[in-house]
Amino acid sequence: MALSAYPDVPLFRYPYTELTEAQIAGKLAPAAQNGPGGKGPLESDLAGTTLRIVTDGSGTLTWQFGQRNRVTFNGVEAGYGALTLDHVTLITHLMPNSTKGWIIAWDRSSNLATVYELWFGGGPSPHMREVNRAIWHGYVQTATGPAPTARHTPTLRIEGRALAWTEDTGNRTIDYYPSVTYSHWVELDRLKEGRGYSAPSGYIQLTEDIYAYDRVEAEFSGLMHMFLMDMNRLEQVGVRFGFNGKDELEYYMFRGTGEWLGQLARFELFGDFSAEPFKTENDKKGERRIYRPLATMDKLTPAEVAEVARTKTKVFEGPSGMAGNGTPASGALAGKAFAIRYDDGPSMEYRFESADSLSWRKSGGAWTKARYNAWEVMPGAFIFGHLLQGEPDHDCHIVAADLDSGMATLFRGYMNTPYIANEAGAETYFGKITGEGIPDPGDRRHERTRDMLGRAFTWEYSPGVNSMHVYSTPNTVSWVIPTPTNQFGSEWSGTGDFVKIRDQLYFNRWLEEACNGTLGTFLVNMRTMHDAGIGYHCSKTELSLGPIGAPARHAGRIDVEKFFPQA
Amino acid sequence: MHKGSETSRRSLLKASAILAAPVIAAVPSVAGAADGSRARLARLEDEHAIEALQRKFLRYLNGSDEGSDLLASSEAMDVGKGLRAVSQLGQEPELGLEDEGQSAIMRCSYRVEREIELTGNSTIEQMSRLQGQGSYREREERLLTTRFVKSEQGWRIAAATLA
Repeated sequence: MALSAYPDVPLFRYPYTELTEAQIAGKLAPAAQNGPGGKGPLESDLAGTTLRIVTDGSGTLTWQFGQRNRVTFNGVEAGYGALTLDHVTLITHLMPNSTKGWIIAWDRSSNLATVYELWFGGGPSPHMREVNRAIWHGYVQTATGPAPTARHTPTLRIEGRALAWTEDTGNRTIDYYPSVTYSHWVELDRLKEGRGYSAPSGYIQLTEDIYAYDRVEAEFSGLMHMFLMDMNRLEQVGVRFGFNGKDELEYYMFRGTGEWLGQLARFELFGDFSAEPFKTENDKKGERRIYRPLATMDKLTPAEVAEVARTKTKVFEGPSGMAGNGTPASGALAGKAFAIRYDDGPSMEYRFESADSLSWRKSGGAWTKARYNAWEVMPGAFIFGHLLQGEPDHDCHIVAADLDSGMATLFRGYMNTPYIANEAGAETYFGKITGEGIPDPGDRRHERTRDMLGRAFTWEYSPGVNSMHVYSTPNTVSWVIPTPTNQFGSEWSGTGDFVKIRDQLYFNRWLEEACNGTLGTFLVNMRTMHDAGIGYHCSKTELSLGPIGAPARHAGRIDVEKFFPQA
Repeated sequence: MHKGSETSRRSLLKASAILAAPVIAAVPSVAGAADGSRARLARLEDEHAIEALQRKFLRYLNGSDEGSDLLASSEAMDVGKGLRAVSQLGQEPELGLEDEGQSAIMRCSYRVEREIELTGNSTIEQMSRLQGQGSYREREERLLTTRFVKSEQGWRIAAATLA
């Protein structure tokens, strides 16, 4: 694959180069001398200023600013850049002959400061190209007056908000901040698919108005995107630092303007403003909890998948932590028989022999018995699923069947994708049901919907097994995991698809690509705020269909429709 | 084959009430009636002792330090992994005395809460573990069957299973 700064494949499919420390040092050298770039003018009014920042945890750090953009730190001269947002100045420079750099947020009114120490290599990141950062809070030492006791602090005040930013570079980004340790971003210009991704992030409150945010695109490019945002004026100044998909250094400062898009609910107890749920005394410098799913995923060959399918298939066997709070399976399909003809897809005939056993045949082939489960999520509207034994890609069919309208939607799950054999792929088909007492919908079909777009639902699968979905784009599902104290923490994302079955009844799916390989599906009833769903998964230990079910809370809706014009 | 007599707590209480009055009224009458009353009284005492034992056993299952000596042996208990709490569902325990009052069996459904380790590789489990959450609570309805045996020291639990 030819290298591309901003790939036209999903970022989790892109083969980012494992850069060496020497390569990185070489690429940083000119920028260390010259300072960051920028579309607009950078500030140079710091000449003659000595900034002595007393930090909690990293001692006293001293910067001496010379003429133009020269700065000296630890006796080494470099080029710096600065931009001021109201009364807070953001300064950055790299250290020559090293793979290190700094970003300083200096509040000129309070003299409080937050320092971002940046480096490549040496951990904690396992990837040389991924920016490491440690954040130090402190104050600027002055000749007069006592040292302030206040500090900039990690905050949950931003949690749940979403903004659209337009930088002076022309780049537009939708930022979702549904967590206190992660964020989710959608590049509207540089990436082709309008897909959202999730990254470990930090949120620091400087004042009631101004917050510092950073994300490191861990598991992808490793780029750091950091900015100060003024929540009243909806303005930002920031720094982009790291290597893009073409291994080019991006080191520039930017200004931007924001648009407030809404806020999802927060679920901490009232009065709980703690914002560092994972911090421990033993944390190493720069250490934080970063979800690296591809590293832990079982990766099987097609032959291994076939062997698992032959010997270790589990279909609705036993209780599932993903459905401890689910509704009971329905036996209402038992005794029924119908066919589903999917447009541009298979024709399926069904005989439901009992509450959990059916026979199917595909496009007039032989009848095959299969175990299934079904749930009647709204009267007359079912989700059911089964494996198609004998199909070369170990297919499953997960179907939303509305027996009152005669319409059905199929999520066909399959293995042996081109990337990882045990990573599920999925297709969506729309069709009509024919059977006794089932009305003929004619040409009407279920349709994809934007009704989910921007919404977030929490799901309480079992005691202690909870998550929140954020439907950030028309093709993205992001999931965020709460801590026991209800701050949202780790977040990841995959491909989504959303189909309207009836008013307030939606059939949705997500794919855990380059993650676990699971296909998750669910039929959510927004009247009862409960769903029933089916997960399809293959690992070393099993090829499985299992139940998913949880009561939902509607956590809010972010207004992003206009950013995704329909073709 | 044991021939057991079965009762529920409600019928047990009813029996107590029926018994309470006749015991006073019937004692002065005939010897046979007195023997019958003594047998019924002995049975009631057994049932009360078993109920008290079962209550103590439930407290033990719910985490009380006291109660391990109620069991005839550690192998006598099969309640599954990760049991954290057992609570009443409002159902009356069903008690049957067997072997002419030398053993008994009690059955009752309870809501059972277990701590299940997050050992799987689902994304939620992985992310929860990353966040330091190693387990989750699972609740289910289960039948607790307790077998009791009478010895010279009184009643003890011979076996207990949650299924």
